[in-house]
Amino acid sequence: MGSTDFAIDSQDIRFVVREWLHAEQLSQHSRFESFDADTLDLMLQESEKFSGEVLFPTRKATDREGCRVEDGRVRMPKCLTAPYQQSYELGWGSLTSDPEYGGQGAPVTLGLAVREATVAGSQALTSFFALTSGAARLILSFGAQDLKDRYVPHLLSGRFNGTMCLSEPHAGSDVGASITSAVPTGDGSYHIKGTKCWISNGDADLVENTIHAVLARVEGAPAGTKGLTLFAVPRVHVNDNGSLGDSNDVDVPSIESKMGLHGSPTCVVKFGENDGCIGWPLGGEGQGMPCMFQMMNEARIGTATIGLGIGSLAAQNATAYAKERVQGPHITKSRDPDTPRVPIIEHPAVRFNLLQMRARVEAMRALMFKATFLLDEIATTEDLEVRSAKQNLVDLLTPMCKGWCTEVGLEVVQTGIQVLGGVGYTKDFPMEQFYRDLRVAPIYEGTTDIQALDLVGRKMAKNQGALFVALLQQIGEFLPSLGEHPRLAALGRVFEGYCETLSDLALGAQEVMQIRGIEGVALHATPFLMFCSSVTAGWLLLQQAVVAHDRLEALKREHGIGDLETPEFLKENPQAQFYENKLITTQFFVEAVIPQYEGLMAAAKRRNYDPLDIVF
Amino acid sequence: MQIIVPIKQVPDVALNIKVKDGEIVQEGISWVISSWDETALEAALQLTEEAGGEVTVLSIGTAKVQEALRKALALGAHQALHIQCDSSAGWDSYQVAKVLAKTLADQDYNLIITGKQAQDSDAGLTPTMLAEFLGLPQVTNITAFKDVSDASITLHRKGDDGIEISKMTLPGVVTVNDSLAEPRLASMRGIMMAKKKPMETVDIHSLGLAPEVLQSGGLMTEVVQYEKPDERKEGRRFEGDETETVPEVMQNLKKNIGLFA
Repeated sequence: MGSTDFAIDSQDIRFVVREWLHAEQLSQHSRFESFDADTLDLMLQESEKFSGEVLFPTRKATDREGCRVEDGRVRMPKCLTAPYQQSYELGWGSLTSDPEYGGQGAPVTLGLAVREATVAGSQALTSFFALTSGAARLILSFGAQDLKDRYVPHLLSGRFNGTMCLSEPHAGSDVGASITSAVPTGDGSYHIKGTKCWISNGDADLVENTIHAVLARVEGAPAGTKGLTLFAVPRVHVNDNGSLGDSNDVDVPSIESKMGLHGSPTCVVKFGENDGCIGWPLGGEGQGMPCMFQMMNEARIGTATIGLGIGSLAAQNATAYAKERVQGPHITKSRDPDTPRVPIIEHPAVRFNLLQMRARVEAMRALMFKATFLLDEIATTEDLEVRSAKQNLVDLLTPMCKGWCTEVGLEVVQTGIQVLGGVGYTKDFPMEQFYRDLRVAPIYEGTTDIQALDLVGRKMAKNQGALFVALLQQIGEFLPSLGEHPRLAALGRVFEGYCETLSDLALGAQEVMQIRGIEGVALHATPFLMFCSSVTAGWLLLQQAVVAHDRLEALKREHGIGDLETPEFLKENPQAQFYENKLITTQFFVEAVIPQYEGLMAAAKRRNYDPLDIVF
Repeated sequence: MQIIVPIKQVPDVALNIKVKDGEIVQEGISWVISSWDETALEAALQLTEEAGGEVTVLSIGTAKVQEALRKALALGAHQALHIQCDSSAGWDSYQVAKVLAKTLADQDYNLIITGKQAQDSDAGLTPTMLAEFLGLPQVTNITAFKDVSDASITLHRKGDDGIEISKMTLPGVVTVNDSLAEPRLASMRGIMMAKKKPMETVDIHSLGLAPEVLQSGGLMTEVVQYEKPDERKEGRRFEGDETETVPEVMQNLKKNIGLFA
């Protein structure tokens, strides 16, 4: 693997899926009976192969060619046509969707593993897979049977794509300000009229048709989000036999000119410019936002995957580059002019950066796989109380995944550019494109600040903080297991300190409310999200470290290796070295990375409200 | 048409393989189907898609080789046959060919297709020995199939003076060159279906082979030990405008290698 090649950390993904989460056990439930250990292994292997061989070769050409509007259609980069078709032919495009309508019905844990690979291969096409699957699920959850039969099989076969249409020119994050209107026609459908913007994949000549999930206000409905209803609005009507009918008066007049992600057109979509656009309700009138949240929550996890997938690819590429690139003498011999130059991976500062990247990537992976595995557990658990507890944790983790992983992914890529130095800033290496492509992830599907408000204002406030207390309880129940641990006891004590700080900060929010009101809490919400997410990820990494330690000791016993022989054994045995690296990476994350996010809380700890007081 | 494709599971050469005490360290190795065998399977699948029939994949080894067989089933093979043994490590081409020949002696088939050689040993001897032991005709290094029937097949292979075209009566053995076909990628549905396709496991000791064939005495060649090849020396990257880097490269070639001197 070179510094410009496709790479995913398949060893860590397999460890997470098989050795930590034991996702193969999901096959004991009839819903996932096809996904046993052998099948999971083969799917991980083949999705990596597909992403590397079919998707990744399009990355550069996609960026260079980009999308354009021509003759009323969005023309996509030509290099994407065949890989898009192949993605659906092979089933990678509709991985976790309902098998009754043509999906593959895979657990979302496997879906995440595959998406990590496909997003590294093509962020653009992965956005099509994710949004289309989400739109299909919306219709299946809230649409009439006719809509399900008419649209969903074509969405899951890739013939159509799907979108989510929330934003309007004057209503971005403030969705409640939407003015797109819906007027009943009398037969159950509605006339839709309005302009939506920032619509990802609002049109594409990769597909025959686009089914938009549109938020609109039925005439007479109250202002704000409570007055919004969700509609399925096709670009072109679909006949009973599946063929395309008349145009539905949906127009894409323009796409945004962006800094990156040039293979995913960001569209302005006009509905009913000629009063001829018809939509069908998904869910009841006024239920638009609760319904749309199903897709938005999926999209938030999907967007977080971009941080993980691109971050991981950047970390792999930077490590490969540091091994290839020879520059400067070893620092211990820097005064000797004749000493040979060494690969930069031997320089301490580069090693620090590389481990910063690796630790963040493994932490993101831990957080995201935990969230998706909980979703699979919910889907395979009958016990309502257990389901509710797990759903609460998912609700708490979703803004963390979206907010933290997209920001952290970007940090990883930025560090990667630094490792490459000058060439990292050039188009000769893919790192700069990773940065440009990924940069949108902390913005769309709800900015990081919106995620922080969701975490602090909605999820943590729910049931008098019961969700957050439950998280701290789970962490608290785990920590004693590290008490006597031969490798992790001291680290556990360090980690306990962060948990106490986190708890103190959360409790302190009430005091902040009294002093500065909700403004004061909101001011420090984003730093809190970053710190809280890093602690949560640290908890999960510590769980992994326990597993890695047990596996390493078992390997040593199997090979009759004593402590003195361990260093040599690690050099010779890649699997043992992987477990040892997991322990080192966890230690570094807890001791060196979490404090970086804890540092973001300095202003909150000092009750600093300067941004609220200064006059701009 | 009934086609047999013997496949070999080999270490993924894309990964860093470690050697200790003359042996390959097994932990951390990722195992894959030998790439030429994947081409053989692809050829077999295309032939049966065109002419009808079924493909049976076959492999010798521990339970681990079932991973390779399952992958072949996911790609489209109809059934699999696993010749189970405690270990086939250290076996040479002769032993493998003997086991394959014994296994296939009572089977009905029209064609045996293999890769031209295995990706790990690179010997390329097993198919020829297999044809000999079975008393079948063999054509090697095939680049194309034509005029397929159950009784005969026309084969193209690259010769010194161009494409050699031969007609082989069946049953027979052919080995394929990787230019024949690009192996397909597995589909999700194929992977899920693989588990439902028949995989028969046969204990190697039940084949009735002479005991010495499976022991070290049956070896015609022996790998004494493995050594890791010398590390490739680090390359040097010339950076900057080509007006600067080209003269610099030329200077280096003259000075260090004596080129253009």
